[in-house]
Amino acid sequence: MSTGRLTITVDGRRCDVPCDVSVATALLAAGGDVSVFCGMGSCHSCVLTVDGVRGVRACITPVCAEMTIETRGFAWTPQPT
Amino acid sequence: MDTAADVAVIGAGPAGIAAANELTGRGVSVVVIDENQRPGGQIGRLRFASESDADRGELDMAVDFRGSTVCHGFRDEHAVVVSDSCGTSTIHAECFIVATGSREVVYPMPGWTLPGVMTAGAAQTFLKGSGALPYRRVLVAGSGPLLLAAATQLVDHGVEVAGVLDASRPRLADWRDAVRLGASPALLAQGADYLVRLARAGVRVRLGYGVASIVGETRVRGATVGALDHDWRFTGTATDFIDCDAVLLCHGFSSVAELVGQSGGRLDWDDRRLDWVPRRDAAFRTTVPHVRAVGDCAGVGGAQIAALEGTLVGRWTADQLTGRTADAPGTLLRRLRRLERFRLGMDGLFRAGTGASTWAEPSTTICRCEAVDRADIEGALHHEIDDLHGLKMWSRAGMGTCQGRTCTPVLRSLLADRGTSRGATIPPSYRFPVRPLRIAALDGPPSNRGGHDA
Repeated sequence: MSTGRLTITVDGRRCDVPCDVSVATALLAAGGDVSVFCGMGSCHSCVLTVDGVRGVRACITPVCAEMTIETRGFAWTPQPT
Repeated sequence: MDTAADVAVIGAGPAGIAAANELTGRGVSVVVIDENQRPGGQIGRLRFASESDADRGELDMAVDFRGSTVCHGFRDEHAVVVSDSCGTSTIHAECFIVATGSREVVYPMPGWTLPGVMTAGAAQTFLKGSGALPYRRVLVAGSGPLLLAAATQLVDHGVEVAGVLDASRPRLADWRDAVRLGASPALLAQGADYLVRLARAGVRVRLGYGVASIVGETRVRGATVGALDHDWRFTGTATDFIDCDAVLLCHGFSSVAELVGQSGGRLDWDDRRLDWVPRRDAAFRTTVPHVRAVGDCAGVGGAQIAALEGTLVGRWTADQLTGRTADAPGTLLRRLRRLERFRLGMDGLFRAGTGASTWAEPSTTICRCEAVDRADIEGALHHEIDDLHGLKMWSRAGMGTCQGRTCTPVLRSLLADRGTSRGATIPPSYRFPVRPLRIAALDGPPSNRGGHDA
């Protein structure tokens, strides 16, 4: 298993997340709750905007360095710290 | 850029991989596409990789594999529209092998839309794809052997499992029937192994139990659970509270047959599986002869059946295209029949009870995409709407981004409660695109080949 880390931007916030995981796992690692339901791209509960592309399914998309993710409050709720 | 191949395989799970390997071995050119980054399907899912990883699991390295590629449907008889991060293109092929697998069926109960509630398969995806499930203590509930497999995997990954609840309560006679039908000793041994490992980890497996409601404000805090009768109705007030931060549900499976339907292939109601499945001949051809369907998408049977069907369809398609006949597949066919008999028995043991439709309260969401709750559905039913299509038109249930994938089995069960037999309704009609497509990506209207325009 890889232990590397990478940086993404979620709703304007820089987040340090593990690499070789899905966008969904990265968002959970970034400290939010994600609406992953089916985990296999079927239910579309976890769709987000990634690098300007709408409707990206967080559960089946691998996270990449410097991804910019916009949740618009949907599918991802940051937990109060 | 458009692609041409002798055969296009849609889906790189056990069935698609076996078919592609067989075809490649026979010198037939084949392109395989899958929505996921890497081949394997749900059962053989490989770890997500930030850079293209050479390891393809079981898939032959000679196969032209396109990961992270979505198939939107047939644009004409011998061409499908696909898209990936580079845009939209067309794959032309002589023959198509649809191996799109299955999805889990979940019957809603209050709280099932909270973050932290997911299918049992989704938890497995986290474990296999990303190496961890980021929850502390999880409850596993639903029906069927997948619950035991998922719970065992979770325990192996150090996740605390608060319990496994199976709504079914197979009677001894049912088990005897399953064994008489030709139970696979290997699969039975696997089931026994799961039970032993769960018992060792102190995980309690309860039969005839279900989740009455999932509790939490913005995330899962716990669940109330209770005993169910043989029809999956709660026998009393569920008062047991189980503390957990995730609930994993799976009440059964449904074939992902949209592509077959959109191609014009007929679907038949299967009352044993409570599902519409593609009609096939003995060589797995759908009613559109150059489109064949194998594995779970043609009737859920599990990974072993899928792999055997994949191998067989690969041989038969290669025979057809090369004009040379390979060895008679007698042994494979015998193994397939034996596994099918076992599956028949298992399906009987874990078939969803009619009481599952009583779990949702009026305010419980039924269609997640369009936020349609049970009261909305009941409103439509009171207006003498008695089929799926009318229900969609009235309430918008099933018309959101997922295109009804998640709520359709539930809508069918609610209609069935009102006396509309699940099989008596017209088959579902699937139109292009069967998966969401950016409108800018279309350069012309594709023809709709299948289904009813009712």
